Amino acid sequence: MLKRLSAIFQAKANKALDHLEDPREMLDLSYEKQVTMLRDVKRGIVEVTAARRRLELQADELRGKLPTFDAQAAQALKSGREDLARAALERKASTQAQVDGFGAQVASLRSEQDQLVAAEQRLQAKVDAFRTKKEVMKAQYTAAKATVRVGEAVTGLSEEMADMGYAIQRAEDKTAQLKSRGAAIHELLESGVLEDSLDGSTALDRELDALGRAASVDAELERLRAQLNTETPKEVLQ
Amino acid sequence: MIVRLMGEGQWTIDDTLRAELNAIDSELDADVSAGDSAGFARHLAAMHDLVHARGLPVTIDELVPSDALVPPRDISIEELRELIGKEGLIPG
Repeated sequence: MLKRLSAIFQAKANKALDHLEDPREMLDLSYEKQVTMLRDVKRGIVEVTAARRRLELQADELRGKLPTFDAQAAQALKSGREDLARAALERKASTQAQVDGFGAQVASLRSEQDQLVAAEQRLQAKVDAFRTKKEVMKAQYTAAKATVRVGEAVTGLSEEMADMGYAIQRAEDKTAQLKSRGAAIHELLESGVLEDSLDGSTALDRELDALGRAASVDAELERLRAQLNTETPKEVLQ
Repeated sequence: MIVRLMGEGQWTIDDTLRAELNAIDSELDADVSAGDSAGFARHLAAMHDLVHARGLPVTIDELVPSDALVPPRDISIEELRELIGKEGLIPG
């Protein structure tokens, strides 16, 4: 398996080597290509880092919504509906588990991205080394001798590039997966419908919602009344 | 022989270590064809640990192709199949 993997990674580099006759020309071309690729790598890292930060924020936001269930449970208890209070707390527990799992996965992205940054620095050093080497090789160039060493350097570097490219692609895939997982949990929290709500708790959902609405209408009314009492004199003055 | 731990860099390994890694590599092949994720993760981690412990890191300014590549430590069998090619590890 190991050899087969390396063959795949190096095949591309060899293809690039094949159709160039003068290795000196190839060295310059390949250096230019590496500099461009390195720029793409840096941009890729900036993007996955930004995406990870957004996911961290989303994890916080989801966690912040959990107290809503406590409020629902308290409301239900106040109205003497222990069954509804229980349903709300059960919902909180299962949502909490999902939010925690999500948060842990997002946290693990951070250490993976640190590794990505280390790899990028290594790649930068290799590209710098290549630049120096290529000038030496060009200066010492005699057709027969140079080709092998030039080939090694180019293959070595493009293997490094391919490895880096793969690491970034994996980071992007993972970020995208977490993004949709976060969105799914978010939707769950917003709609109040949980996966386990098939067993009749949908009716409970509606009752909880109704209780919540009734309570908020009462509160709103109370506030309006208070507002009217205090604001009426002011309006007269204006 | 030069080995790359994907995502981590390259190491030079001696013949003794090479033989040990080859033995683990056969185990890995077996794990993949059996679809044994736990065994696969264990063997892959063992490979990484061995290279880290006994390999000699290739210096940062050296430019050499690897003789063998070890996939990332946390790769899944599915991801590896995708990386190697649609036909899977064992052709035919």
